[in-house]
Amino acid sequence: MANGMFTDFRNGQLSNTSLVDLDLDDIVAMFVDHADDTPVIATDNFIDDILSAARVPAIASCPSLGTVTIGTVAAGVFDAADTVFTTLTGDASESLIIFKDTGTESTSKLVGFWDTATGLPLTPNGGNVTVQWNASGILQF
Amino acid sequence: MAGVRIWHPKARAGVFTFSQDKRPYRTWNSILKKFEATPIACFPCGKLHLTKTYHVNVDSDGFAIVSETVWDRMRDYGAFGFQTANEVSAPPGQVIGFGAVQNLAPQELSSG
Repeated sequence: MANGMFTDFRNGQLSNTSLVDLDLDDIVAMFVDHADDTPVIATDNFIDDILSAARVPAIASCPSLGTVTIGTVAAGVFDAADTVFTTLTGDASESLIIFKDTGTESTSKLVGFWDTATGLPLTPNGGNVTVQWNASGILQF
Repeated sequence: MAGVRIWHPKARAGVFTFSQDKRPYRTWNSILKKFEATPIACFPCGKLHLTKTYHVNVDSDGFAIVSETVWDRMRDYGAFGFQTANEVSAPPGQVIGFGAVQNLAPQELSSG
């Protein structure tokens, strides 16, 4: 697969349906264990499409993206401060996703997917894991 | 316990890999209600992994720090000669880094 935005998120943003407000909604990050379930950016819509066994960590422990900006780095660019997973334990993970956490899995829309980055696959050592977003931003429309 | 420091008598300064031959990478097909094999092209290895593969960074003295879960997985396969050195309450931080290309990959709809 390749890094990308989930199709349903892209379509939703463009069609004014099921919008994600990237700077007001709670956008959180999660690693995914592909031996339990591999995300499919073309067809997965919400976090309940990712089997719970594949989630590292569980939703309740996923860090929110902070200091979010839109259009500050460049036109149409969504950016945030580096994201820290505190004392991440669990199994190795092959990808990182971000999604809107509504508190209800069936409405928590998947946003972005990355399986290609320095440090992936991640074999956790039980310490903090910092996601250093690139200075040019996280994603862009 | 946050992490486990393990040690190998011979492995030095490299990446030790092992695979769980009975845990294929897979995707849940919600329409067909079954799993489908989904091999991964490993970015650091440059190899295609069919089953769950772990990458453990071993330092020049033969030490590595892994989570309890990863250590359990290794022990399921006999630990490959590694043995527990000690518990680590505050393991060093790990970093996921995005170069410009990786970071911008989601921007495939970018007007640029």
